[in-house]
Amino acid sequence: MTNPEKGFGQIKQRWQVLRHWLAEGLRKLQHLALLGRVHATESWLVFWLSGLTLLWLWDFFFLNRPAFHTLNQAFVNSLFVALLVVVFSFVQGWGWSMLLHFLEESEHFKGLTVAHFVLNLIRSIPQIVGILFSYVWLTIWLEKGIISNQWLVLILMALLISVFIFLEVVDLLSERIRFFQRLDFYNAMRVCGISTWRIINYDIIWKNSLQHLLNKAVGVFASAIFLQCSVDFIISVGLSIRVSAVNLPVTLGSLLAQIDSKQDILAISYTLSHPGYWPNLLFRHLQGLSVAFVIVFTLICLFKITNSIAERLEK
Amino acid sequence: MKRIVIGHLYSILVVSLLLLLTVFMLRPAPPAEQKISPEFKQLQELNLNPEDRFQATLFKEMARTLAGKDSSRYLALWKKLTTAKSTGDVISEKEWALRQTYRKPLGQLLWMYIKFILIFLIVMSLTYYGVQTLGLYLFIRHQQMNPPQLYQFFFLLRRWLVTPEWRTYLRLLTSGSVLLGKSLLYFLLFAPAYVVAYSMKTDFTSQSLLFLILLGGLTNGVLITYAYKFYHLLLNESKKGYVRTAIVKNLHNQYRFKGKEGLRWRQALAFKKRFKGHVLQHIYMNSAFQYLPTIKEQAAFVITSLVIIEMALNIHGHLSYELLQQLLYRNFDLALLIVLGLYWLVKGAELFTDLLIFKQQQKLGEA
Repeated sequence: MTNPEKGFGQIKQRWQVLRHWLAEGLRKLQHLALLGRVHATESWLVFWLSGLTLLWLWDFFFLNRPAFHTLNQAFVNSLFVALLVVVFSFVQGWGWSMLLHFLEESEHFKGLTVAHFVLNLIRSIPQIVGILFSYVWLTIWLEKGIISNQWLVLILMALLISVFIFLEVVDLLSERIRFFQRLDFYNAMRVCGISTWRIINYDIIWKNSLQHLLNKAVGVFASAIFLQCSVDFIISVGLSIRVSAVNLPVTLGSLLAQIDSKQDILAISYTLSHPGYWPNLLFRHLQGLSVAFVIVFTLICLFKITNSIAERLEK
Repeated sequence: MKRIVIGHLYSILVVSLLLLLTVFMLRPAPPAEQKISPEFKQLQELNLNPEDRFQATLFKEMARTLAGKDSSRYLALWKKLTTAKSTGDVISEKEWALRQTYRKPLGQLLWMYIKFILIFLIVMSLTYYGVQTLGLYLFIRHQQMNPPQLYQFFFLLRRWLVTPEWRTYLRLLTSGSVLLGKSLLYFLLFAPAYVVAYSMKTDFTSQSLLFLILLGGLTNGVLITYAYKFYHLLLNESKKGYVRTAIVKNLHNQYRFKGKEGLRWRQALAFKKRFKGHVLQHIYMNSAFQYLPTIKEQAAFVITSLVIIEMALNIHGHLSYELLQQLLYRNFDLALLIVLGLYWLVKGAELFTDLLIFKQQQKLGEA
């Protein structure tokens, strides 16, 4: 027979050890929380990637196969489009900044007025409206069979979105060029016979603005995700007759617009009134909730990353 | 001031003329006005799909079999039908009737436009206040130099584990609740409006005006993005030399919400924020002035956000929903007219902001 007092003592001793371990673990977490504040950019990047990985693993085990594959495809497509938007925006932004700068330098005022007019016109059209109109063209091309390759459609989507985002890059580059032009080194380099092209592209943009450009790239990426999801959602909900006939590639926005996903999201409010229902959210309503989570979580993390880079630049 | 107004008016005029010209060109002609032969009209009435290979082959075979040598006339008709369908130049009476059903009279569109402007003005005022207040709150929190919320939570949890006391437990509970609330708030502020909306209900009517305004003000990242912009302006301003001089000259510099030298919640939450005798007054005033040009950007974002909400939630009787409907039924002239209205609104906001900056500069110059 075992001695109950001895058994109780053992449990108490084990609890002490466990408590010690837990306390030690919490101390490390405290340290990590502080470290996260100091290295905010890296921390948010790690947090974002880990969050997405955890969600992927959860979905891998608990989401049905077809939905899991569609979700993966939608995520890859959305990410691909957003990355391409960054590339296209930077190419267009750089091109326009160079054009503006050299028109200004050569005192070609008529050209400058036209360029500014075009840029202001794009700026004055609400982004979503511009993108929606360009999507209408895209659906017409698809209907006519001018384009049929899914990847080409995604590339065109990115190009069309970038037309309404690249202005942010133009503004940043023009601001950087103007800032350095006010400093002595710009004139000193010109006196030394170095071409303006090299000063701007190598010394100003490449050597002194990379961090700013990186920050802008993350911002553009987030804007692209937001706008793309919104326009795909609107197209799938509002223009459903045309879309069913045309079939655009699946993205996070269009996946969210599906009736199943919408029902899944609606389960959140049901859970608020029936708290006991919440475990179902993790198993029965995974498709819609996963898509919504990916979009919102990505937007939060990307915002935090840009914010922390901006804070670092301010220092 | 004249230059600012003329510059804006000039660009409004040019774009309006261009768009109105396009609207006029895109105006659909009724089938009666279209010069089409009775044979072509009959073919149209069959409602065939020229892109369908089966239908095309069947028609061609029938033309060859029944018309013999004369079949080339019918084949030409089919070709005309294919071109008409792809360019949309010639529309059938059925399609014309469908388009007409969904066309809205200009008076009705104008009323929707006025409603959109009113909603925009309300959301803009709310977000402006929200941006100033939240930005200021973030700045005050930063100046208070509190440890991160997560750090506090882990610290309290560890303390409770080592010395389990009721007081520590209550503080831990509060800290956990704040952390959870903050996370949920972040999710709400960053979530696209349609995610938040569809998590609450499935259908939205034109009566959901308050809901629309709340969504416009809180979601789509409008509030949080611009609040952080204002927070960064405050942060930059606080590092300037004159702030240190002001502190040396005995202006209050206590950022806690208590004590004589501290701040009051009332001051931070007021629409017109005043911090008399506190260094924050000068930091805030200068940052608020620097924020003025961002209002243009914020206005454009709010308009984008409202358009997204109205379209994604399919709110009948609203301007953006109508824009979507006109696009769907290919009434591009009306759709462009709505876009022109939105363009005027953005331009109006830009003009207003430029005039506001000009006035402020004049006031500061005089001072």
